Amino acid sequence: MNQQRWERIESILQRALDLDPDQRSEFLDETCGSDQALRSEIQELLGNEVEAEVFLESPAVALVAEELAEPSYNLPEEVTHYHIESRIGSGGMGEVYKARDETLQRMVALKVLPAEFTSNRERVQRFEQEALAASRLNHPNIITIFEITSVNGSHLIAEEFVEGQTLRQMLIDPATKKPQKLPIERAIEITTQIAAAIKAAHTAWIIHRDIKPENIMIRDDGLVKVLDFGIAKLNHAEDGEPEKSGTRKDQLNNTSPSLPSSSSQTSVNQLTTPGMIMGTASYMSPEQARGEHLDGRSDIFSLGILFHEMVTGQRLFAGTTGVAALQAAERTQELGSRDAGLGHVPVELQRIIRKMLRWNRDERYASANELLDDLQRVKQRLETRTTRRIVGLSGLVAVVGITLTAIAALLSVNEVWEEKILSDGHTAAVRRAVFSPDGRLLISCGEDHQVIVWDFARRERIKTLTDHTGVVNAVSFSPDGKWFATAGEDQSVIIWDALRLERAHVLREHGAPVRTITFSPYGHMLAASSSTDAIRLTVIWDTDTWRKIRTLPFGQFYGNHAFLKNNRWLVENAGTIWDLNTGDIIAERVVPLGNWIAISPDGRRWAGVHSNGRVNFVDAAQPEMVASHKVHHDHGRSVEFSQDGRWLASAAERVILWDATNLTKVVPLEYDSIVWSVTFSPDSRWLVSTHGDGSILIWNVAQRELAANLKQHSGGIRAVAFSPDGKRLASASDDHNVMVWNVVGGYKEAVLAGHQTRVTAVAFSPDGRWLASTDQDGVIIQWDLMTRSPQRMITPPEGAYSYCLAISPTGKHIALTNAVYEIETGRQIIIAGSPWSHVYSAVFTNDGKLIGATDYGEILVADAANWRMIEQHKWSDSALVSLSLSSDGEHLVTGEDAKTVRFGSLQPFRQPAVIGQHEARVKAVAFSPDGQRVASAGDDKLIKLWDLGNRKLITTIGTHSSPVYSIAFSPDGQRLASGEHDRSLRIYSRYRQLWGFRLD
Amino acid sequence: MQWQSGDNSALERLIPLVHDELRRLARQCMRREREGHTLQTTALVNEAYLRLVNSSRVQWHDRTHFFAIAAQLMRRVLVDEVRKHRYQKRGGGFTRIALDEALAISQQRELDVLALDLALDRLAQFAPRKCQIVEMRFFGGLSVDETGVVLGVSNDTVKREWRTAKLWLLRELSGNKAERQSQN
Repeated sequence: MNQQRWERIESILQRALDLDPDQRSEFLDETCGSDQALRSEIQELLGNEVEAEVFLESPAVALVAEELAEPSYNLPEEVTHYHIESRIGSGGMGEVYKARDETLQRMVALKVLPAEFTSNRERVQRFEQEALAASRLNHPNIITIFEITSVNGSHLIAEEFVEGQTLRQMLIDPATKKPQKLPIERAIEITTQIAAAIKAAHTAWIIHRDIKPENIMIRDDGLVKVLDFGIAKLNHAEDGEPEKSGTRKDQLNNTSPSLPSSSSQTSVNQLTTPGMIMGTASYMSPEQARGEHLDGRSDIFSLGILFHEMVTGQRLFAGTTGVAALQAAERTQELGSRDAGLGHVPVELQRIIRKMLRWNRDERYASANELLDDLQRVKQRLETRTTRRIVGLSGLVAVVGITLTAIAALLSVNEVWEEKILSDGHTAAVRRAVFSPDGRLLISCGEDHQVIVWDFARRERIKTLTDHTGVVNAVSFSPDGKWFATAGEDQSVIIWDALRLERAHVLREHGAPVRTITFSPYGHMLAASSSTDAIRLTVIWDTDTWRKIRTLPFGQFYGNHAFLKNNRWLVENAGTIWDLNTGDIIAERVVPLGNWIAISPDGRRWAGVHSNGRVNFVDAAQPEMVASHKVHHDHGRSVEFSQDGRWLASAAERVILWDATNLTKVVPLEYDSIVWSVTFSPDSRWLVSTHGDGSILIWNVAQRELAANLKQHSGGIRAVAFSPDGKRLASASDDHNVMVWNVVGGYKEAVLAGHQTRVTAVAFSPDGRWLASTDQDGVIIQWDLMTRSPQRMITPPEGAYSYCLAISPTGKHIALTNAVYEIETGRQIIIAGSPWSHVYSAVFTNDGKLIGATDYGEILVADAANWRMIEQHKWSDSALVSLSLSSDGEHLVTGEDAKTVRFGSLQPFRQPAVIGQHEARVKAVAFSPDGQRVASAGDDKLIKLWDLGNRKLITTIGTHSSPVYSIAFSPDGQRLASGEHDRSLRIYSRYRQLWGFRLD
Repeated sequence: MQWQSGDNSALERLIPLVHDELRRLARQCMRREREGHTLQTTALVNEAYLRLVNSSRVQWHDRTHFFAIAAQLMRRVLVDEVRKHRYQKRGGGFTRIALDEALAISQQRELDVLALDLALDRLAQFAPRKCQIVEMRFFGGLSVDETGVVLGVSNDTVKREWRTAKLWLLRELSGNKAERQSQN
């Protein structure tokens, strides 16, 4: 290339880059004129725009260092039927690679044993036996071992490839790189799943012996996988005396009724070897550190250390060498007398952790089963808030015994605020979603075994269908809108009446999990395929009679099929075309498309996304590949055309939107969680993606913006308000919506959409029948809660804005940042002679006054009868951000920029006193209804609860990972709600506890 | 870019320092397992520079001059290291690794440093400043601001040229990949 040519290219390229992707094509037509070579070269350069964002952005040294860290021995690109994709890491077991199993078309983690390991024949043999035993463990929380083999002297284990992060990664704050704790519910959840894995293994006489955060993987959808069962032993060079058989049962202490079979005994017999210290020092049990016989209870101890670390963020035994850890452990003995950082943990959980960590194994849980039962019980108790009342003191004394500690505990009643994040819909990954032909309904299905019917326009849940007994993989709507069909791991296909939303038929023909389901374009046939390792078939039904028409084999890949537009041909993902009338093959493997395929509405283009992340486009007429792009770095999971044929979306680690007319990438749509599926609304205006965290996202295709999440708000929550009866909670969000939640049931009742910008404040009317919200432009919407629709909208003059909203006790006026509005007429009332436009927070008193707090640090009082200012007081030197009035109307509390919470009297006015401090701006304050306490919250990610009597901090509430924008007390004072920057809406329920028992 | 003879010896002292730093990082990578710590490489490299600047008795005319040359040097050292490592991996016997072989070894690696090195040489033929920007940003770990100061151009210019250079390089590299695939 010469310099002039490049300069010309570059100047056009620069200008094109500054344009919206939509306008580029036209711009290039104009600028390049007839110079087609120039145009195509620029087009080609532009095609890399998305990739360029990350390209070369991490420093070369890191990249090179990583390459140098690769093993010095030679690993070919292809090992038998595995295609090595990348190196994941290395561990005690040797190198670990991400590889693709070419026969079964799935990703695997391939472990290659180091050469020094394989030189010892005996050890190799033992390794194989051990891995074989572990491979027989069949449990969702234990990583599946697919194959153990050796190739040219290299020993390999192929196991399930898990997309997610290790527990170690979760325990490190990505921003600060410092250890962090997990929310308590999350810690319980993870511990429960690990315990379930351990239980299954112990039942099969296998001890893990190296339970540590690095060996726990947590999938994006929350499923926990325990790695390297029984492998720890292999790291040790020595081989000890095999122990006598027959002692196993006592040692494992499990409840398995039968003795293990002789073959598993062989491998188990070599498991426990006296005198050897194995496992990772910090997570070892005392008996392990001393090199004694091990049994299942050692794993329970190690899990106890993990559990402790998850809830406290601290490693219990920080020593890095075995000896050091042992010494530290011997010194501290058990946790019994120590606080161990567990102060914030519910006492029931403390009890469990302490029991797991008993120094003497006889005092620990005897089996993982027992631990699981206890965990479930406590979890349920924490969740459902079942109360346990203690009658009289004598019962209590009988329970705890009369000791000094018991008496001390009697004197200190703890206050606990149980935290719950409100969300609606699926509680696990959402596998697929599909629109009804008229676009009114959206049906979603997922790993929580649920099928949910949504009102798409209202963004509300209509019905939850729970007939499936396993993960629901797929859903399809009939073209006439009469039926929808779902298919699941429970091997069934269910046909639902779309009008009544009831089950109509259950079809069981596969004898295997059903992965994909499709109605034919005319709706007279239904096809459903199984594509498991063992069974691959497609069953075709007649939709009039629901009789099976025929069964066809399903090709090599897992994935889906699609009907061709002629209505009688079915193409499966490996490219084989079947004639469904005759059952004949029309063409075989014409062109490989990928695992998930789609056919354009005009039938002229096929598209596919492959498990290797490649998106392929095929011209249907030939058929031949016309374009292929490696754009995803995760398995492709879905690809769909929009009905107007303009767009295509592909899904893997994120959604990518494509221009289906010229087969170029338009934009990636980013979200925190992996994508399971994509689908367009029938009018092609919306793109729906379903995700691993239970989210169902709605994207505006034209604006390429996230419009909503059916699970929760899709933007930070600026305001929360309880209804006067305390049964409902309203939340106002940056996502332009207001949501109304049922507090008791914990579900979403309504989504109120009408604001054009971020909603800044929301309040219920005094009679609870309507609510009012305002936004960044100062627009007020009055919502009728019966019809869940706008009743009135007041648009203020240009340039208005509002941070707050207060409704007068009569329900006739609304006060905003800059003015008061009469609701009936929309008339704006300017408060005479006052700096009212600087009010950040306002509240009405019951006796007809309006109080405002300004960013000059002043408190203004206006008379609501004539809207004149009657008092103006200097309150603080800092801007006042938030304000709350006691229910008797006499006291005020404020939060301010200067991080201070102030409390003062209004009648008569007295200079306020400081109650306490936050570490950042105090965004919200709230008086408890009894006037005894104040809650404050701020950018420092804390909610603090203060006692007004002694001006002391009572407790901090909840665990927050982002600034808290707003808080509110329920009218009975037993609940507190918070709206946060991270889009979460949380409810805290108060109870008091004494020695682990709830008092109310 | 040239440097004064007095600075030469100091730069030579930088080479072992870079090597040390690289080995330390490589060891960290090996130990890292699945812990997923992100390496704070830029910080480390800057630290190495600073140690050198402080330890050398040479008075650098200015810090930026030094950074510019150091980035060039970093490129040389890193590319040599990769070449050497691959040579060892193949058990010796090759004196030079052909481009397509290099790519084959790097498998699905996001980026092949050797291929990038060659592409940069081609880029330098018609757009030398872009080549320098890539050297400073990617190999030298300089920020946009620092690169701008060294080259005496505005931040906007650096950003724009960085963007187009990346697009051009991506196309160069992906072109090679496609050739490789068609051979298979």
